Amino acid sequence: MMSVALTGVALLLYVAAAVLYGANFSIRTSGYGKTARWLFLAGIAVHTAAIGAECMATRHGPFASAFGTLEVLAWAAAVAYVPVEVAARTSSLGLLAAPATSLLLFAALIHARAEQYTSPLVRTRIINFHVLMVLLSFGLFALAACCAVFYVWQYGALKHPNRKALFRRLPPLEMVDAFAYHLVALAVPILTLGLLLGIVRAALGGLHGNWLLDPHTLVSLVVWAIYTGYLVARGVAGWRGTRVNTLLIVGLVAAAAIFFVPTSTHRFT
Amino acid sequence: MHLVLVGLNHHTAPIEVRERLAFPEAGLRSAAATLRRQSGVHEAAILSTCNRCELYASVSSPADGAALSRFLSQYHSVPLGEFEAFLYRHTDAEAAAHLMRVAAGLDSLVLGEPQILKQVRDAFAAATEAQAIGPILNGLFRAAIATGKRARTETDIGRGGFSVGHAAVDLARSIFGSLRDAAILILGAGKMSELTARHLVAGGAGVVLVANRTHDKAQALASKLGGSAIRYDEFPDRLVHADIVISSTAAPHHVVTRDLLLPVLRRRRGRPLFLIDIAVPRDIAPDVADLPNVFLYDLDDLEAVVADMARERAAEVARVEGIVAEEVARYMAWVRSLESAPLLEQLHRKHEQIRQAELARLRNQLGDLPDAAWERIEAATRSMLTRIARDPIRALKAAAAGDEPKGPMDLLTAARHLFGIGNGHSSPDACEGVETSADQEAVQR
Repeated sequence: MMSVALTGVALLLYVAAAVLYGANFSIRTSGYGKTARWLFLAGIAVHTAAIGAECMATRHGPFASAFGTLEVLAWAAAVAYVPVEVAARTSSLGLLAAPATSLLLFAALIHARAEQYTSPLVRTRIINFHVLMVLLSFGLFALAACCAVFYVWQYGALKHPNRKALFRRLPPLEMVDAFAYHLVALAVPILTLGLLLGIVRAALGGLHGNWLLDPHTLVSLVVWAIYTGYLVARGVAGWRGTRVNTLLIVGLVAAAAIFFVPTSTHRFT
Repeated sequence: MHLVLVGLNHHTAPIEVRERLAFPEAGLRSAAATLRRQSGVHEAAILSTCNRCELYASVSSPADGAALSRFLSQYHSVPLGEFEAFLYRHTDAEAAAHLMRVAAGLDSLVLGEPQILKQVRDAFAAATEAQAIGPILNGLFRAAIATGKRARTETDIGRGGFSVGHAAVDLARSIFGSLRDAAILILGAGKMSELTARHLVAGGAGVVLVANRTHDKAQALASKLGGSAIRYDEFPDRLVHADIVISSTAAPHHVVTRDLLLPVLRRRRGRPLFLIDIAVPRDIAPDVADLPNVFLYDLDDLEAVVADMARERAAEVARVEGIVAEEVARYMAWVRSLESAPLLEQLHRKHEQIRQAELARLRNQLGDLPDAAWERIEAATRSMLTRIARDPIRALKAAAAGDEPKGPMDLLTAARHLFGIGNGHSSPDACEGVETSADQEAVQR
């Protein structure tokens, strides 16, 4: 299938970018960073084409299979990273963003042969928007978690100055903190909208089981609570530091759990 | 044309010798102009810093390089015998490599220090203003400056940490990113505080507050740094809004303690606080370092950072040498390509003469052709010559830029023979010879 082949090419480009981001971090040659950026952008272009090919082949949105859903999630993380790198004026963040994108796309490829969802629900506009909004917010959360990992890493490097001046290779503490905050501030309203669309659709009826007690719904609400809590703590109460940044990593783990918990309402086969 | 360098530096000569041969900044232009006027010297430039004095020149033959050491002796009225043993002499690629290594900071006392690149630029500017510089040295200095820039952007050779002040700026940037909005609080108006604060202010730090037990001293330092003085007992309150604290008081006890900071940190709501303690004995209690979002660096920590950075810079030397080698190869290829320029110009002129002569003959024979037809003939003959000459020109340029040793019959010499071009003179007779009917017949056959 064309979309799977294109996804494979995009994955190779992301992996190559990840390797060069790693080389740039360890050897500090600006040429590696620039090449990594171009490879990553090329990866996004091929990735976008893969999603387009998938939509054309199935004649509906990309969320008709686990493959398409994970593919869009990886795409959201990749696209969100580009403005961050431009604003940060450093490619050191790519050290985590590129492998994270590669990992998500690899997970998508594993599901490439999984059966298509047969439920007519996946072809409805409201469900497509619901899934798209949730996945976009998850992509942004993944990137915010990358920033948080850098924060904790840099914090440790600065607290222990004997670590071979590692702090110089990592992005500035305040910068990654601000990026994480802005990414979450953007993602939470998107997630809220996505969840509201899901609730509206559920209220219309016709879904399997009790949607309110569905583990997917419950975990989604936990994720929403964690990130909204972070926004309140960081934006309103002014909390800073490793604790609030650790919350972002916990939030991402919770978000990832959605893909592993059992569900009845969110089953479309 | 050859490039020569004669000079001495901190590796080869003691300060007593260097100071006698140093050129004052104000006299650099006139000195370069004087050097340019020496016999056999076509272009000249002088790089004079506290660590080196180097004369660069393009000369007709390497033997003319002796004029440089004679000039150095005469200009400073120091007998040559008193410093000749300290001199180094390089020619062509070695001389080019030397200047590029200097610009990259590889030859500096403190490896990778940034000042030398500015000094190379100044030497270039002075020689240019003195009109002592021509294509060879112009290309050399441009290449050296480009090498210096590449070394600092593509490797870590020039990355901060040359002193405690630099290390403080590096650390502050790693915490805050930009220093534009960073507020500095200085405790103690000593020399060390001033030096460190100067680095941070030069790095872009905004607000500067100075607290000292003697308020007059605080005011004096604040005015030097463009900040404000505060009363010494006000400083605990000011800690709430400070981002960077530089402490260097003469107090025999800790002036910033954990107990003092705990309520301050609560009011700061987790904003990072960078504490620089450069006092001996220390002003800031060491257990403060355990508090969250507090980054405490004492003099030993900062010196360890400086040492780490020096080690990192030393590890970059091989990569910088690679950049120097690339740039030297490119520069020398460019210098060699200059040799082909006069030949190519003569070749072009000769072809053009042939074309014009042929067109004139045609006009006599076919004078009644319309203007549009003549324009097409003009364009066609020009295009034909360009296409015929394209490959030989490419080959000649490549041969001139190439690194192969020149034999008695290298490609440039062969081209002169083949196209009937003498050394620097084209032969009008040869032009005429091309048009013989015998040749045309031969071509037709």
